[in-house]
Amino acid sequence: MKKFKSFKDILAAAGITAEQFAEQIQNHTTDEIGYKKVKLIAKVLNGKWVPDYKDDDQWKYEPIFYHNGTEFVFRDVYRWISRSYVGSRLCFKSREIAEYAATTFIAEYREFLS
Amino acid sequence: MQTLQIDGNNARKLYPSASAEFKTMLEDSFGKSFFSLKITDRVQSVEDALSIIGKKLSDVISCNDRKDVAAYKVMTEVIAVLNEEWEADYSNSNQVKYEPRFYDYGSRLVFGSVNVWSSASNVGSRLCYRSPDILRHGVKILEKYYSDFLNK
Repeated sequence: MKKFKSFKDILAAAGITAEQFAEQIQNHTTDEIGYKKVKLIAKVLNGKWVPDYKDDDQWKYEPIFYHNGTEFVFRDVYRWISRSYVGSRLCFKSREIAEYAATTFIAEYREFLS
Repeated sequence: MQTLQIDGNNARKLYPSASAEFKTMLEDSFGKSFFSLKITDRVQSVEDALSIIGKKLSDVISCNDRKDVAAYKVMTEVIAVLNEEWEADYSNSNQVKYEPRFYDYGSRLVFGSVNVWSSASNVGSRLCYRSPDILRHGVKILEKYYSDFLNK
């Protein structure tokens, strides 16, 4: 798996400039911006993989977070075949990638969750 | 003589802290049952919820929003109305939060069950509910928006 250090790297991989993204999130609230960032992170990290809830053999992985009294931190990864909390845009193709996303991009997840 | 005009939304806001005399005046104008209706009775649609906060759908979403982003915006507004004064506080592990879980139903994710959390979450503070009954009501009136948010 290609490693990304920051959201800037995600934008670059998606072929989106910082200016273009700034334009996309104009007038958005912090959580809406967080949602767009997390969605893009999942899209880039999943590559060509597409969740298919009709496919009983395809696992989908969703990170779960807990609040330690100060902020959200990554706790675990849930895997489902035909269930979800977050839907097709925020799940991942593997446990490893879900955990990597949730820990590397915790700041973006906090924007979404907090 | 000057006339004071109060609409239903403002009357509801004023009612809890109104004096006994003013409460009687409000009840005479709007009817006693008007102030005893639960939020789930008052909000039967997305439009009902938005009208409580003085908004229309066009105030919440823009034509440039993709369907999942538009859905997210509508859901957060409506859920905030349904939760009334309640706000999720994840630093408070004694406060229970309820999140819907969705199951595949003919290739679409639809509401399946209620999950209970105190300090954990998959979806964050804006998409959780203060009670299971309100959650069920929310997912019912937001069915189209949940579908747009969850399904590609």
